[in-house]
Amino acid sequence: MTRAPPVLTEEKKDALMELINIGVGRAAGMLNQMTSHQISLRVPSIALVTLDNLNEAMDGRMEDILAAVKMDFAGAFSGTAALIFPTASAAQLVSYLTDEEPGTPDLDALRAVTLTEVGNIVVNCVMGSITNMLNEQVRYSLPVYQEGSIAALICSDARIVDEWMLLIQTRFSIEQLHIEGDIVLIMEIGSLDALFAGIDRLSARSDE
Amino acid sequence: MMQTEETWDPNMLLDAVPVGILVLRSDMTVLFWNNTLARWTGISRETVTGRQIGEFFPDLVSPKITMRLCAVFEQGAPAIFSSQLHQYLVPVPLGNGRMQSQKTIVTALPSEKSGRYHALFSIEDVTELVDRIEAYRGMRDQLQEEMVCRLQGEEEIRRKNSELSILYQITQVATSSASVDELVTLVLGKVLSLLGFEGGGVYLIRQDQQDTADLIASQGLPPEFIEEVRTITITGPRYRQVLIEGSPQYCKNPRRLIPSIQALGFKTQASIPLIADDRIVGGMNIISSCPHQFTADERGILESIGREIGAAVVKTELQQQVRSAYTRANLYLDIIVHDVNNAITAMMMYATLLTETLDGEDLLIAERLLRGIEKSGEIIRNVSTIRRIQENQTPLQSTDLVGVIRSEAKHFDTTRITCPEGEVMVVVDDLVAEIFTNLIGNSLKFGGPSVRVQVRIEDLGEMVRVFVEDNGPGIADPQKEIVFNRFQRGVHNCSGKGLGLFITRSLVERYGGTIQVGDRVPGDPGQGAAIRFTLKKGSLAQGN
Repeated sequence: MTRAPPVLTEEKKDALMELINIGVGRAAGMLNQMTSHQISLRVPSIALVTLDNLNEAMDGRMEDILAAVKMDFAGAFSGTAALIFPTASAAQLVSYLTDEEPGTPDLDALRAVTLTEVGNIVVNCVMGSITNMLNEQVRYSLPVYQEGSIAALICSDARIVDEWMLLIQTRFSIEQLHIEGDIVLIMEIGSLDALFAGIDRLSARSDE
Repeated sequence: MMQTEETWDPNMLLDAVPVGILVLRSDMTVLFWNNTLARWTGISRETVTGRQIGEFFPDLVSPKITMRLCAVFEQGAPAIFSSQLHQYLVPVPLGNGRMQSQKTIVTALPSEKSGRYHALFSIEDVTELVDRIEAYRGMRDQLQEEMVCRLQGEEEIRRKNSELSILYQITQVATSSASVDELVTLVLGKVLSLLGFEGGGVYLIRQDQQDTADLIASQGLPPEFIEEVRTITITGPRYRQVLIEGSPQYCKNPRRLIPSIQALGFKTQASIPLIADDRIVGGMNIISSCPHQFTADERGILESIGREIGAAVVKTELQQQVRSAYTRANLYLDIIVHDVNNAITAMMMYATLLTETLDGEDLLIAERLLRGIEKSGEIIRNVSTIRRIQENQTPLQSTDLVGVIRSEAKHFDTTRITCPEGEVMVVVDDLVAEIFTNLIGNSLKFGGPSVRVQVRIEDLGEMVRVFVEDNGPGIADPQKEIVFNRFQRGVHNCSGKGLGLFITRSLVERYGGTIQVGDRVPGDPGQGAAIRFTLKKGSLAQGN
C-alpha cells in the first residue's frame, strides 16, 4: 500500500525547481562547451508521483521503449536518479551532439556510451546542485545505460513499488530539434522527507 | 586455518590490468600512472608522477574536462567520457597515423589526508570496437540505401502498374464500344471513377463545322447546366487552349473556374484535349468539389487517356463509316442482283422463244444470245454465293452428301453422270451444292458432247474424300496451280468469269477441307481431269 504522500508545498516546489534549474543550467553549459552546440535545458514541471500514476504523468509513454541512464546514490538521501528519453529523442540527441547524419535511430554501443555521458552530466549537475545547496553528501554508483519500457526501467526495483518519486520533466531545446526527456528521482523511504527537510532548512537560512 | 591468501603489491595489480589507470589530485598533480599508460604513451611513471598532468597533456586541463572533474573532486560523483564526444583523454598514437579511441570512466577516490576526492581515471582502448561499429554502420547504411532504392523502385513499378491498369481499362472500354457516343460515355464514367472525380463532360468537334463542338457525354452535372453548354464555339478564349491549341488545362484555384462551374460548388477542373494523330477531335473536362493538386503523374496519365480516347474516337468513327459504306454497298448489290436476275429471266424467256421459232443463221445467233444470257445468270449466281460465303452466316450441319450430289446431277444430263450410292453424312451448309454445280458443270462444259463424269466418295475415318473425275481434255500441269484463283479461267475460255473454282475452293475450306486438282489417269492430263477434296464427316444424329 502506498504511503501517505510527503507534503510538497508550493514554496518547497519553487525551491526545488530552483535547485534543479541551477543543475540543468550547469549541465546545458557543460554540454554547450563540450560540443560547441547551442543547447538549452529547462524544467517545465516537477511532480510527486507513484508508480500507479507515473504512466499518466509521462503522457502515456509507460509502454514505449525508452532509453535511460541511471545512477544510484546513497547517503543523506538514497535512491536512484535517471534521465529517461524516448529512444528516437535519444538517438536524435546523440546524432546532433556528435555531428552524425540524423535518421539512424538505433542506439549502438558507441551511442549508448555517449548517451551515458550526457545522462552522467545532467544527473551529476542536478544532484550536485541539490547536495551543494543543502550541504549534504551522497555517494554515487557508476551510471548505467538501459533500454526498455518505463515499467521495466523503474519498476524493476522492488523497493520503490510503494514509493513516491519526483518526476522532473526536462526539455532539451536544440535549434529546430525538440528533444524530450525526463529526470526521475526515486527516493528510498524517508529520503524525500530528508530532502524536503533540507529545503526547509535552506529556506529558513535564506529568510534569516 | 589454512594460509591460502596471497598478497600483491597494489601497484603491480594496477600495472597488470589492460586499462590505463591515472590518479589525479584536485590540483591536477599526477599521483599514479600505471604501466599500461606508460606503454601507450612512452612516458614512464617516474617521469610523470608528481608533475602537473597539463605539462604532458594540455587538453586534460582544458575547461571542458576540468569542469567535469569538479564533480569528481568536489561531489565524489563519477564522470564518463565517451569516445564519440572525446576521442581520447590521453593521446595515444597507433602508428598508422590514427589515434587510439578511448572510453574513460573517472571515479572518485576518497583522500584520507584532505577529506576530499582524487580522480581515478580508468581509460579503456575502444579503437577496435569503434572500427567494428563504424564498419557495421557502413554496411547497415548501405543496406538501408539499397532498401530505400528497392522500395522506391517497387513504388515506381506500382505506380506504373496503376497507370497501365487505368490505361488498360480505358482502352478496353474504348475498343469494346460500338459507337462514338457509347465510347465517350463509358470512358468518361471510367475516368471519373478511377480518379475519384464527381463530374465531367466530353466534347467532340463537329467534322462538318470545325469551330463548333458538341457535348456528347456528361456525368454529375445538372440538366440546366448541360443545356447551357451543350454546343460551344471552340474559338472562344475559354476553349481555345484545349480544343484548338491542344494543351491541357489544370485549374486548382476555384476562382479561376468559370462562374457557372463555381456556382455548382466545384473547386478543381482538368480539361484534356482528345488527340489522334496530331488532330484534336475534342476535349474532356473532369471536375471535383474537393481541392486537388494534379501531380505530374496524374497529368501524364490524363493526357495519355486523352490520346487513347482521341484515337478510339477516330477509330470508332472510321468503323462507323466503313459499316455504313458496307451497308450501302450491300443495298446496291441487292438491288442489282434482284433487278438483273429479273431482266435475265425475261431475256432467257425471249431468247428461248427465239431459238424455238428461228432457223438457219438466225437460230445460231439466237443460241449464242441464249448462252450469253446463261453466262450472265451464272455470274450473278456466283456473286451471290461469294457474298454468302463471306458473310459466313449459314450454320454448318450434318447433311447427306450423296443426296446433294444426286439432286445436283439432275440439273444436267444424268446419262453422262455417275453418282455414288447410299448415304454419306458430312458437315456442310446449304451452299455445298454449289461445289457440284461448278465441278460437274465445268466437266460437261469443257469436255464436249461425249464427256462422262464420275463422282465417288472415299471414307478416310474422320473425313471423306470426294472425287469428281471426267474423261474430257483434262487440265495441263501449269494450269493446275492456278485454276482455283479468283478470275482465273481455264484454257478453254468457256466458263463464266473464272469464279466457279474459286467458289469451290472457298466452300471446301469453309467446311474444314482441302482441295486439289489432278489427272484422272495420274501423269496423263489428256485422259481427263480429277478434282479431289475432303470434307468432315457428320453423323445422322446431327443431321437434318
